[in-house]
Amino acid sequence: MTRKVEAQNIRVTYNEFEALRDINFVLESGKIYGLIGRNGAGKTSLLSILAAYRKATSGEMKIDGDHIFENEKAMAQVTFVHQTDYKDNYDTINKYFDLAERYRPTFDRKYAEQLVKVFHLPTNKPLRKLSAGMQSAFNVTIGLASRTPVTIFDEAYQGMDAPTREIFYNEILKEQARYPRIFILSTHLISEMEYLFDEVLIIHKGTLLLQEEVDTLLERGYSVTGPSSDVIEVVAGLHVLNEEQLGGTKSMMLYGELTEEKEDEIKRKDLEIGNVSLHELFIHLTKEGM
Amino acid sequence: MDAMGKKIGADLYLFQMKWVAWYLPILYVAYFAIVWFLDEPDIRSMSLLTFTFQTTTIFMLVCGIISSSVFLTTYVKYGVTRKAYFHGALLSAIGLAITVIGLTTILTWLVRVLNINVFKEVVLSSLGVNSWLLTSVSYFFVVMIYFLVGWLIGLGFYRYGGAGGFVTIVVALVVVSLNDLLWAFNTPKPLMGLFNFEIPVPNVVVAIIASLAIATITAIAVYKIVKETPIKIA
Repeated sequence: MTRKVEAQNIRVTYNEFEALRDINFVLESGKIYGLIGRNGAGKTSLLSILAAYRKATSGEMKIDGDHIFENEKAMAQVTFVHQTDYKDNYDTINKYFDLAERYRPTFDRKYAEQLVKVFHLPTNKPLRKLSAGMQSAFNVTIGLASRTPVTIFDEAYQGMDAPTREIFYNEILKEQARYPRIFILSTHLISEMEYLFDEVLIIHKGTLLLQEEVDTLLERGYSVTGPSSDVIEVVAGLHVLNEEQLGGTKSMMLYGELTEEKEDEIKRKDLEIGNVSLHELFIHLTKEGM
Repeated sequence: MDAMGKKIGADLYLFQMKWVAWYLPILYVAYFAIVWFLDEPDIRSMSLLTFTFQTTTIFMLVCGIISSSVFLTTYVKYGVTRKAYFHGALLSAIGLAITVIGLTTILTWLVRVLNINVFKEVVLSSLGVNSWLLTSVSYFFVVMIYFLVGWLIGLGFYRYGGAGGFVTIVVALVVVSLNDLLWAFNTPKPLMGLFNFEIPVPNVVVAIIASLAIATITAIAVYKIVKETPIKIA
């Protein structure tokens, strides 16, 4: 079943501070969305609205046309996995599986138990005794096995070692093939997780900077390298994200559509056109003051 | 009431009954030990029901205080609305209060029937020697009010932090003191001993109606706060 999440003019304020403003987007099932932004950009605030953890100050967040906040039908369709403090928690993983089974109609216990084996998690120990990485793997297990149409992982990898993260990423891809849904992955590990994303949303200082398919976004970023004077001449009027100089050679990172004429001009001058990674694009698009 | 509210009510009742399963037996043993070994006229005349009622006010207060931080967060995380949580937590508290007061009333009655010498001086409650129904109903209302003010305090701190939390403590003190003016049960109400105003204890019908009104207003206040409470991510 296709699902649609729609944000309309979402605005969130905490006392005087405006955490989010004018957020508009549409998310569709079958896609994995990467949500990236710098610390304090408003990612968790935005995801909290989506998961009905808080009400937006104004604006609307809907699933298939229904408001999410305090709507039983809509809230049952969203799982929000975030860092959780288990230091005072004496319950075991099995207890949480019981809870999920009782309150999440789509929870697949068999799959959850498989994941527990893959992640090597002890099911009879209290959660407080588990390492940070294991606690994260447990959170991820609940998120994956709940199989809700909207599944959100907010920096869910905290404390996981590289092989465990790899298992996590693989499971997302396998689940997406088996039970297509809307996955939202909020992350700082852009290079590592880039291959998972169908679309990227960059959020900066409380606003949505862009929502783009990854391939389209990567096509918009490119670099031009060559003798300084030629490079400066060719990039005039273009959106320059960054520049580096080494002796007489200059490399400029640009953002925007590369027209055929421009490409011809660059080639005529014998300058080099290079690719820019999502990681680099993100850094320079969200530089201070931009 | 919605199906989800009932489901949560049943789950929370069973969960909190685990605490009751520890709390009540310990309390009963303490009561019998005190009456048996201490020659205190105040205690010797106190019934098991009144003794249990006095400590249950605090037990219910604590259940109320921790409810939001323990259960609200978990339920919203598992896709349950605040409204359903409110219904469930309220139902479970009613169930707890009925169980604790009901069980103890039965046990107190048994003690009376057995006619044991040590308990000869016991008076059921200040409402009368044989006021079984009236005593248990009024005790039920009072412990429910303690649960509700605890819930209000817990939510006050959860939603508004320190300053807002203290406001709810003041409100709670006023509520329990007002309620005790109606019943004169001398239930715990810190600081209020400093002020010494007394009114003639009203008629029981007036007291029950006024208690019901106090409980309803407090429950509405709790609902108003809980329905838009942001869930903490920690």
